[in-house]
Amino acid sequence: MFIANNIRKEFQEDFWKSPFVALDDLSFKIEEGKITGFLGANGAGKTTFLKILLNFIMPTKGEVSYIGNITNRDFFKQLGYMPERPYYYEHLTGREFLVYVGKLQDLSEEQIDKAIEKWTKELKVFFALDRSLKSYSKGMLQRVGFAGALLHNPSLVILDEPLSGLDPIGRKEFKDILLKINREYGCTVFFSSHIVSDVEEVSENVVVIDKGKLVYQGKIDELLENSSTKLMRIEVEKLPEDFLSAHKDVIIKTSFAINQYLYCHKKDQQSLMMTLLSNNIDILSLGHESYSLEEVVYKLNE
Amino acid sequence: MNKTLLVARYTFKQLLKSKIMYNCFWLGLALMLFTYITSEFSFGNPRFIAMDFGVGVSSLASVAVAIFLGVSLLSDEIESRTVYIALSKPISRSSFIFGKILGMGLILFLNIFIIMTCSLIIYFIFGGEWSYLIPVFLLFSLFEALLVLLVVVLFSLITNKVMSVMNTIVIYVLGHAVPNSLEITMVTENPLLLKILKGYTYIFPDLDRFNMKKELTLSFPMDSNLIINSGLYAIFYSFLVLMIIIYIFKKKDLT
Repeated sequence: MFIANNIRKEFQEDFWKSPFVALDDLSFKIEEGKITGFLGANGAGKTTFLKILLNFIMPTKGEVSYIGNITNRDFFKQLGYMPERPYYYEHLTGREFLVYVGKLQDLSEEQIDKAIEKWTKELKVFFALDRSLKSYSKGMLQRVGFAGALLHNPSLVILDEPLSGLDPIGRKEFKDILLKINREYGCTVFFSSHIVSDVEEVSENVVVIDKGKLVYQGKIDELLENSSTKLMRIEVEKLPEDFLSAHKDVIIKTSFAINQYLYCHKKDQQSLMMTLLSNNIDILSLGHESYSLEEVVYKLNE
Repeated sequence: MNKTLLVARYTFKQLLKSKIMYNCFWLGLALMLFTYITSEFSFGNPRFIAMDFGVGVSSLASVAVAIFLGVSLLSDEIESRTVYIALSKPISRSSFIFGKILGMGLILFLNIFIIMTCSLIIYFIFGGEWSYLIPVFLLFSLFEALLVLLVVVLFSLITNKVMSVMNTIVIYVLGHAVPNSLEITMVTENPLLLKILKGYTYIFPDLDRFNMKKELTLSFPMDSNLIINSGLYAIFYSFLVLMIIIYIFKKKDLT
């Protein structure tokens, strides 16, 4: 859908100080028809990149190029965007705001009415459409903003921290809609978040940045697979005090945070299990050592 | 152009529903009351005082409203990220900013109309008569307020809110003071100072051209050439400032 080529962004805070580098040589590609999560800690440069992508700010170096015959104007016709924590024109009603957004997208009155009904019902904010936006809660504003981004059936949806400020039910509903627009309408979704589990739940691909630099770009599955070790994980109930020291040549590492885990190489798995059983130690589970995306991202950023 | 008018319409709608119109209404009522009280102390010529005080204060109030509206036109949009909603749609930055200014200009006109009407009501109560100079005065007050609005918007693009207001007030005061000072003996006898002050009027707005108060209050006949020249000056200067605003806004990082 688009390619970021060597994007660098510097901000000159003070004339006498050296510029602050928000993005440094950032390059990645967003594939068409996929949901891609844009991960990074607060201040990593996610919003800065999105602002460059949307022409709100200019990069110091580099450029964003669109794949195919998309021009700058086409890009905005096909785009649905929702900024982080939006505060819309508070004296307009929800309906007036959505009509404004629809007209900016060159939709006819009929198309706007149909789209408003469809998306606001889907996002459960239809009942409040004739109230002024200043009476909306944060979650309701988020919902009306999301509806505004979807009115014209965009082929690319870009969302900046869309799930922040939503309750658990709202988060689930938003994630379901992201999956729906991707599966049913083939919409490409690119959304930023600092919450790894949200990205893991809905995205196929992920772009991870840290301090303005690219850390990883690609499929989440591959990232998890490449990050997993070949160690076996044995969950046990209770270990005698001297067990670990007696078998330190076989037990590579342990984890006793909540459950008790012993880690060993595959070749030692059989013998270690026999030893555990012969010592009357109950084995609760057996599996490969694996990391959650959160742990992998944390390791990548280290 | 359709998108410009759309932005203008919704800017107008949003502001019309905001408290600014209530404030304008109360300001108009306060102006009526003060004009009435001042006229009561005039000892013989309440009509003149009603007109003089009324239009004078309403002209100042119009400029104050222009500064108040203009300074937050873009900064509020950027702070609340509403600007991102519009600019992520197929609309150019120039259409957007022109639409915003157009919508705000209409609100400004409405404000000036209400304030002026309130001040003139007292004049008519005291037996004042209708004059063609009244709409001319209203038009030039609008020109002046619109130019001040553009100046404050321009400053708000390059500096913060406080500095924008301060700079605009300085431009407003000098825009009246400098052209008046050109006739003072101290200035006319000092060729260098005269050149500097004349140079100032060529670059910065000469707001005294829009001051028709003397003609209105004293019922002086007004030269039609003066009206046309001042009108053309207002249009040309406003257009120039608008072009600078559009150019800067197109280049500006909306952070």
